[in-house]
Amino acid sequence: MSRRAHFVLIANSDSPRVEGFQKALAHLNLAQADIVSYENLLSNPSCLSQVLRADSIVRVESPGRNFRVEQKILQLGIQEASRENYYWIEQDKLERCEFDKGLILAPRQWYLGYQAVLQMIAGQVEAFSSACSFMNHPVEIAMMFDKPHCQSRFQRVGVEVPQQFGLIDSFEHLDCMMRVNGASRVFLKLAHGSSASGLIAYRRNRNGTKHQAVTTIEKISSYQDISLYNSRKIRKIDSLAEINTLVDALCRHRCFAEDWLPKAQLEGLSFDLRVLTIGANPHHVVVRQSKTPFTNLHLRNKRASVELLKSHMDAEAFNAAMSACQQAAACFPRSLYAGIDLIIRSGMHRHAIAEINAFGDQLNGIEFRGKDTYSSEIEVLLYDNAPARDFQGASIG
Amino acid sequence: MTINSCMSEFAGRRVQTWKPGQKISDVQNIAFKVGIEPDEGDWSEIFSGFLETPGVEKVQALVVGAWEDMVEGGVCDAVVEEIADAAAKLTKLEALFLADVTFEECEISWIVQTDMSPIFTAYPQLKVFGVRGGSELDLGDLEHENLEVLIVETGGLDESVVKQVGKSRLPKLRHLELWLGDGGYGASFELEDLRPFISGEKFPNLKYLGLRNSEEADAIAKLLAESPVLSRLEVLDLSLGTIGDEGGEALLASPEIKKLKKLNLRHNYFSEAVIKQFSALGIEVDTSENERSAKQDDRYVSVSE
Repeated sequence: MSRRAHFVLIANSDSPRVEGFQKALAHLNLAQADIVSYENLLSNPSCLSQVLRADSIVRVESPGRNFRVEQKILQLGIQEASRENYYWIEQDKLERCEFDKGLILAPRQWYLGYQAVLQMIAGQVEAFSSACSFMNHPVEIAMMFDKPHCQSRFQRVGVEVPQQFGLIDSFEHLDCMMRVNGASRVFLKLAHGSSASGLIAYRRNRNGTKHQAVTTIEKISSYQDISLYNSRKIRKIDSLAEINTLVDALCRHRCFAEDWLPKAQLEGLSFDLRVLTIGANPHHVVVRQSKTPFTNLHLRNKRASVELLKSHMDAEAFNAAMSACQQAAACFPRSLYAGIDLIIRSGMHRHAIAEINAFGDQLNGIEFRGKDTYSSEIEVLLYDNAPARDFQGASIG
Repeated sequence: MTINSCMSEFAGRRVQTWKPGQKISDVQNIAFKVGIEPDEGDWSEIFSGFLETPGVEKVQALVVGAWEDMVEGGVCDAVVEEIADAAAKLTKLEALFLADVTFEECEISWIVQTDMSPIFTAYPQLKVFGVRGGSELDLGDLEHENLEVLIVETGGLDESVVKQVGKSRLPKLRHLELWLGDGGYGASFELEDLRPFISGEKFPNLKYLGLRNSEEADAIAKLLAESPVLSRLEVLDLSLGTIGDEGGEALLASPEIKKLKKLNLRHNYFSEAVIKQFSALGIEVDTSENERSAKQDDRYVSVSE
């Protein structure tokens, strides 16, 4: 049966993710997936049902790295965003918007728009045939894009996450939350960000005479407004007034704060792990080393081998960290795979989940048992008859 | 300057974190690091455990890692006191470094240090002493018969410390390394305060001079270029500074510069033309991590994951 498996890929067609997945299918002697590009889907939603078959397996890919798609998603978020108090871009302005590399546009509005896209996809597929399935269900993809929601969910099931300080609406609010919790080091994150976008690590001494923010954000202030850019150049800010301005600017995009946990080091560099779970089991693991607190900043970060890590880490502690990923992934029973960012805390005895990513499986050159990420996913989906848990993401072909 | 990684080596030995219960061996090749994990444990308790470990009396090199509340004043006093009190046990100690922590644990300019003189008094056999963090640092009346290496790493060096080194009596000193830092982080010395080291009159046996991490690096380079100290040094280390072509050309013009074994200029601000001239000197010159080399586009599109 599985040889006949029909995959439909919703993606930006020029994405290397598409190429990677098609290659994996070819490698496994499976038919190439039909591609529905986001651009087509967003201008003509019914184009999806034209490629669906009764038992299609739908894979929703990241809509990132395509400005026209980003614009359309933002457009779909206008109505809901306008009812909230976060930063949003109105129709006229959005139409006039031009691609400006690195600019953080309106992540909350984007999230609301993308949620609508995901709902539309789910609706269409389910209406088409109940035998169709998803690799990762759109509803859960949407949930994974809500970072604070995921963190509290993990916390509830007993998976370690950094101490949560909740949504933060201004520097004043952050200051208050830190006092209440007796915290002197926090990470401020975008609720709907990824790849180290919009991160501020802030710390101060107890009597408040020293302050420092370390950030991936480049702030450009103009006469009228403040623009925030993602930058690989890590900036340090010592002035309280400047930190205040930056935090306030980021908070317009919906932010949450959590404890800034010192990360363990390997060969003198801080690191964290990207763990790809498939069927909730940990598969591919990447050890990401960095000179900055932002180990998840893609590109320019070094990678170390899992073997090296294991030779430095207690087996029990490593296994506990892997079980945490398992438990975290199990919070999303309708998703086949997830990319989990896992902090190994300084000392290497403890861990904490930093975030979970619905599209966190693009790990070039990383293999597990001789297979790349996409091949492993397809194999588990089609041939693994005894999944570890009640995985109900897809019917077995 | 950002401290991104922990020391892998100190005083010619591999740094190895000592964990409670671990044995002490291979003292020739290992510098034992004793520190707490952030927010966990008590430095004093770990250090007591270390002192009770069989073989501790043979330890030659000790690296102190993080202690609790490093950013608060007064805490380091107890650390220094306990190290001084341990002198009766650590009779073979030759090398000591205080506060090997990365900026993620504690920023260099935030580490609050204290008066180090109890250590110099308690360990007359000490050969290597290094300290990171210039805030409230005090070296006292520095007189030591055996000290060969003195390292003071700061984000901004206070004039009082520079003056203490200037007035010190260290007859065996061969390696002097001062991280001078910048005014915004507490550097308060005058160029004049550095003159005893730059002129070479202060430490006649010096083989390594490091005036690193300085925003005054151009002026320092120019003074050094004209100093007789160059002819006596083996290594001149002006890395992590802000030297531009002006200071670079002054160094290049000095006939003595070729007599060095090594010139460390890592992380400065030279033009490509000046870097070429340094490469042609015929001695070992490190011009890596030059800040004026190929500007790159740092902005990136966040991937939606």
